[in-house]
Amino acid sequence: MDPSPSRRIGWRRAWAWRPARCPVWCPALCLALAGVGCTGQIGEVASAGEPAPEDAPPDLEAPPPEVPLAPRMRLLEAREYAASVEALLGLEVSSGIQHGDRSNGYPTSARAQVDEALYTTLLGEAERLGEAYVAGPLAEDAPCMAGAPDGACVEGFARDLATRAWRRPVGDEELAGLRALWDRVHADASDPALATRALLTRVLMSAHFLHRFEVGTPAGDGERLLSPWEQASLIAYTLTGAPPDAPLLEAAADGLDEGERREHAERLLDSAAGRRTLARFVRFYLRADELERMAAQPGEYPKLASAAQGQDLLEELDRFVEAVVYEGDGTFQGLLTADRAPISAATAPLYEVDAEAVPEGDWGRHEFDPSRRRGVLGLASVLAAHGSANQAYEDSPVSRGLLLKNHFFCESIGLPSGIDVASAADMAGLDADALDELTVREQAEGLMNQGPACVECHAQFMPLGFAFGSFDALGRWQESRNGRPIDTSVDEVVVAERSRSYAGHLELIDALVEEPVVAACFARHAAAWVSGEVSAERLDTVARRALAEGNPEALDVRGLLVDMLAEPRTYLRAQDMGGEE
Amino acid sequence: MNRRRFVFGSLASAALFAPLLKGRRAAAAGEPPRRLFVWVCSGGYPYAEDFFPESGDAFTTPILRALEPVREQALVVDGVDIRPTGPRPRGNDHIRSIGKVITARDVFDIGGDEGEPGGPSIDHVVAEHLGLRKTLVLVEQRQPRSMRERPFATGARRFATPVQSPAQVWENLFRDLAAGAADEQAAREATRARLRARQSILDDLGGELRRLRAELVGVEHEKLDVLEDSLRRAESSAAEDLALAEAAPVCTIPDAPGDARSIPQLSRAHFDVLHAAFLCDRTQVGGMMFGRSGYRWDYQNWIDVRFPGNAHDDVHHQAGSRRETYQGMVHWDWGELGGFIQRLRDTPDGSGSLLDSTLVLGISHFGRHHHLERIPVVLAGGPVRGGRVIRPGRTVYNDQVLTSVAHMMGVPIEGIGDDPACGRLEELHG
Repeated sequence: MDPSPSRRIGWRRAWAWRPARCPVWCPALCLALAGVGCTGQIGEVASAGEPAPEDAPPDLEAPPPEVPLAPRMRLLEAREYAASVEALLGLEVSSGIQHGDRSNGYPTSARAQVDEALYTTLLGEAERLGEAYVAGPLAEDAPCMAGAPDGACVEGFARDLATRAWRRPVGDEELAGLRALWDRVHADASDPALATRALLTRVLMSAHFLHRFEVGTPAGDGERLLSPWEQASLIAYTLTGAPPDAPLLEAAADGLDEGERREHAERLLDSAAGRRTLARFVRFYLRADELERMAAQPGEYPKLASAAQGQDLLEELDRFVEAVVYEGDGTFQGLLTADRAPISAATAPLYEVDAEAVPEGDWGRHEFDPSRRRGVLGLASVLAAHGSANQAYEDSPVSRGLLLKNHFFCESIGLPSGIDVASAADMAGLDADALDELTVREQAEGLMNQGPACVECHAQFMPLGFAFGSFDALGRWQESRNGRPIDTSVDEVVVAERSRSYAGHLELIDALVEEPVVAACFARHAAAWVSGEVSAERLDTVARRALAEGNPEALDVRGLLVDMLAEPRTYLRAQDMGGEE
Repeated sequence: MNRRRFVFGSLASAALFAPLLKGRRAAAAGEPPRRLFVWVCSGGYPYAEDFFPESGDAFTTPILRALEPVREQALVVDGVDIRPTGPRPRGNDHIRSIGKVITARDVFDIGGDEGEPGGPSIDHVVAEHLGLRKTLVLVEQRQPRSMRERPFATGARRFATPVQSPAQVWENLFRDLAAGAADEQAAREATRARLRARQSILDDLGGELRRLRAELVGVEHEKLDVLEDSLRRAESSAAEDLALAEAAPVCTIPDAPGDARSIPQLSRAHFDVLHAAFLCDRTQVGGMMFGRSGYRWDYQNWIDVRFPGNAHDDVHHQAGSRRETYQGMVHWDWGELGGFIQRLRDTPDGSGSLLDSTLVLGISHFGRHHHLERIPVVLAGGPVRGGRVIRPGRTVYNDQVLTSVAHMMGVPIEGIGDDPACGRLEELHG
């Protein structure tokens, strides 16, 4: 074969001269290569709907538009539901409870609805939980409810249960309703246990348990202010994935000021649940939630050396985030530049470290070779989350490129349509008959060379992924494939409105650290995690003030979240809007 | 709980138990089917001739061979496009095609790579009109959280999310009946008391919802509408279940499915539960989404399947060089539907079979790759005259097929979706 596929395919300089637009006929093998439109990772050009967090980069020069958030009732996602049940009843939920909504890229359930199937599932679960509670913890938690409770006992039990479940005081009318339900069921079946189960089911199926309300009451100037109870839930679920604890509820009873919100946010963020939740936020920011599935279903990832490796890759990222945020300098920039990673026996080989250097079941620390790895984008876990599930050699320049373009620069890619994949595939086959012998980058560039539109679209983000080509689909270092050197230098890639060139991934990471828009973009994503919002303008309303509080050049991750949750505007909502219109 | 084992797919067991089922009968001549099953798949095909025969009625193409065992019952429609409506009818086809294929309405963009349904899907139209109970399932390992796994809808911006876990589907369908099927009088009385308590709870929740609506004027009305609709259906189901519990047991309850993780296990378990649900009359409208749009199934990891490569990255988008693998994968997909049709056909129901009283629609939201033209459409059961490939010879659209499905089910609509007067596809009738 021709030893120079780049000359034969003619891709190399194609990036430079193609027109800056995505025509509708772009052959979609380009998409395919990596499934831009097929992965849920790419935004459409801003159109009829609200823009996604990455649809327009933060404008650091513009005066901050103060766009209040939309009032919402946010369905507890499955994890929040489970944590709420555990806190309320001390019981575990069934494995069938798995609902959630990630329409803003984060599991914030801002748009989730309780449709028929979910309602049926939740009703069945609530009945099961009621039965289990009456058969178990009830006797200890509320001794007077065992046997034949009198009216005062039922009322006291109902008040306590609903207050804790609904995370706010219960009104007299609501309490009378609960009491009446108990009486009604008891009268029908002469079975106090059934009546208590019904009471529990009723409380668990209440919209006030299933949702956290962020609606507030009119506060003048066309805005609504969230009640202290709503504020407490927003703080607690955001930072711990669980309902407010007793100290926060006690504080809410007297109203929450900025200082109190800050105090409780800091306290919760430092708890074990807070640490786990912050790591989860970073996992979603890095689009590395695939690691959760890799850990749960390692059999679906033939590239993994063992099931333990899948589980440890998930833990690696969590441990890394905790080490930087809680034990290191705590900054976003620190995440990008940390010089070491936690390693286990299962992940050590990925860093060319002898597995026996780390005791089984234990974790050690591996200092990066500074000429190879740096920060979170040098972690095997993050790189593995953006690589083929099957072939360990097959890194994913599309997935990696889109991660950087969308989540680090807050820029989106227009999705072409009307594509002709089959024709493109045929052309690719003719042009590159020895495809398997090429490096992933050579394959990608060769296959993409189907026309100027194809190249042009992919030129917006693929080079960012090529820069990380030194890492395979398990995050292992690689310098060549099939004897062909892997080229990680990229040029003329446009980000943050300028054409850039990078000698490789380390230079690119340095640029990320220096680029103000990257820190601002991270803040916007933190705002998405906090608010569940999609609109960039609304997100920036939350992000800007928090950014102004801190130093964007050394952005304190923990402080950013605390500032957002202390800031009064985070608790203002538009006066009258459905959120979905 | 006195629960006997139900032998799925067994002709003998089906024959044994079928006479016990309350009020069930095969559709008499001229009567519409009593059940509808809508199967939506994501695979498309590498080249049209891999799915559609170039001429004649032989089911011998590489993919259509999967339906050969039910050839006499199955009808293939060649030449159906997804109607190009909306401001960008071809934009983001992973969202638009899945959102349109059984609603015939353009989706709402909500930013990013996401959308929300533009209107109700055909399963809902039929279920609502006829007052039928509906069960929607998803054969996919990921939980449904995106438009890509949710072609079903009850209205504009209202998803009807399919259930991913077969065990959960069983819980939703059979939990109450399982208790009611016990022989002991006390157990049955306990079930009735529990169902009456549920009615009281739902009644109370209805009151809460009304108060909430009054408090939240102008806020989140879509969510409240969906919640109210779900509550209403739960009330209706509770009433039905109570009526069932008052009567003698009508059906032998199947065992709950075990842990299903791989796609073949999930597919089998979902088809098992749906078959039992039809047989026991626990649902009359079934829907199945077979793989999310852009699914990345690794058929190579499945015993007895083993096509190399990731369905999406390695095969779907390299159709030229991976054509045979692609054919094999999609053949497997349609073979799963073929197996279900065969089971319905082989299950006695009154004087006929379950298939006689069930209309099956199998449809893919993609034709060739990302194309929204010439999508695979297969009909079987009920009044469908099988063993044929229909080629209208003109441009026809999915909304016409859906309207025909509604007509076959006895729902007299003029059209559906963005062209409410689209009419039916006459070739499917008579």
